[in-house]
Amino acid sequence: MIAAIGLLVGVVAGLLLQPTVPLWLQPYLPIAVVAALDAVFGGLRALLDGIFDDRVFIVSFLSNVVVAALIVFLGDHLGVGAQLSTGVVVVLGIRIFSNAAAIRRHIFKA
Amino acid sequence: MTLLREVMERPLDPSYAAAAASPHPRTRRGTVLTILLAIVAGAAFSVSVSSIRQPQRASTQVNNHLRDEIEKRTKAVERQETANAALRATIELTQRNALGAGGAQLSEQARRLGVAAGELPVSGPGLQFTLDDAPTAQEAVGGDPRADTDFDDGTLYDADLQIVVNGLWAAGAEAIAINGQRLTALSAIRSAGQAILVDFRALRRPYVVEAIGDSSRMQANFAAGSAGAYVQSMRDNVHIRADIETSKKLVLPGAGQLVLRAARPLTSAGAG
Repeated sequence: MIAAIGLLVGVVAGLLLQPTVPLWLQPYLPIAVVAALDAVFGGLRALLDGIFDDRVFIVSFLSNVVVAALIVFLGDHLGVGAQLSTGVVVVLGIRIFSNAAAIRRHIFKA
Repeated sequence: MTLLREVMERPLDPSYAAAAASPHPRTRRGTVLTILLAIVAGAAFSVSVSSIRQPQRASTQVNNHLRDEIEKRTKAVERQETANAALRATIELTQRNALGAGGAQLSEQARRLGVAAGELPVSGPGLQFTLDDAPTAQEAVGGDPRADTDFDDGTLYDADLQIVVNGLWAAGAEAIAINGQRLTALSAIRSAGQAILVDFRALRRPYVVEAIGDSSRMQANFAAGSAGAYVQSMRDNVHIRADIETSKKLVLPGAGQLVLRAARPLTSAGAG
């Protein structure tokens, strides 16, 4: 639970401080955001399943973001950045949807 | 497809289940580290989201600002053109008064020259051409900007208008205006980005080309010339809209005073 609270504090701090992101990081942000969303939905589902764990949540969040950024970086340098990004978004999108479906089943029993 | 099944059926990170199966003791250091990392992750998340959104907002702001500016300046130009027309009428009147009765011939000559040069408005019978992009090209506007756009996609370009205008001159037109912009000896039809410019004024679709002249002769000559064949092929092949109407009375605006800054008339000595 403390991980979720820490995450909220971080979100608010980021919104209030509004630091500028260096230009070389900009291309990795969209896919990193999608990866982070995947981790958040996974955490939410784990919470409803009753097996939430702070450590696993934080590690999965950070590693998701780093791996996503790495894939885009690698793809950009190999000349297939757009295709790799599409692949990552498709896989993460499917995961987000099925996690959201599991959450929905937990909450609405439907 | 094992990979797809893996993705579809077990989207929850297996490490959650593993951690639940074998709980590890929570240390003080671990807790602090978790909170710190969580704060960092949250901040990174919100900062990324807001910085992805911001540039777009800034660019649309700039776009809107530029659009306002263009509209404002265009209005200013129009106002000044109206003022110009009024002043020109005054000048003409004063000229006629100053020249007196003997100057009637001179002022009449000035009027004729002004009409021929395109400075003064004219009216007469003629042809009205309405040209427009093909329906498919219109749909493509605002679609995927990365979609292939070749030159045969049914969009009209400045070169097309140039060919039509040239054909009309060749067919015997005496005065031509495009969307109310009178063509003179100094006019240029060119493009900037997606827009077609006539005398640095951007045109909006559809393009209406009005030409004063003997309408039946002009129509026959135009159709017989290469421009007529070109328009016909554009209409048949890429479905560009091109309607020709004859009109008994067209009114073309004047282009206003033509200002020559460098060119000087030859003196009689220089001409000799």
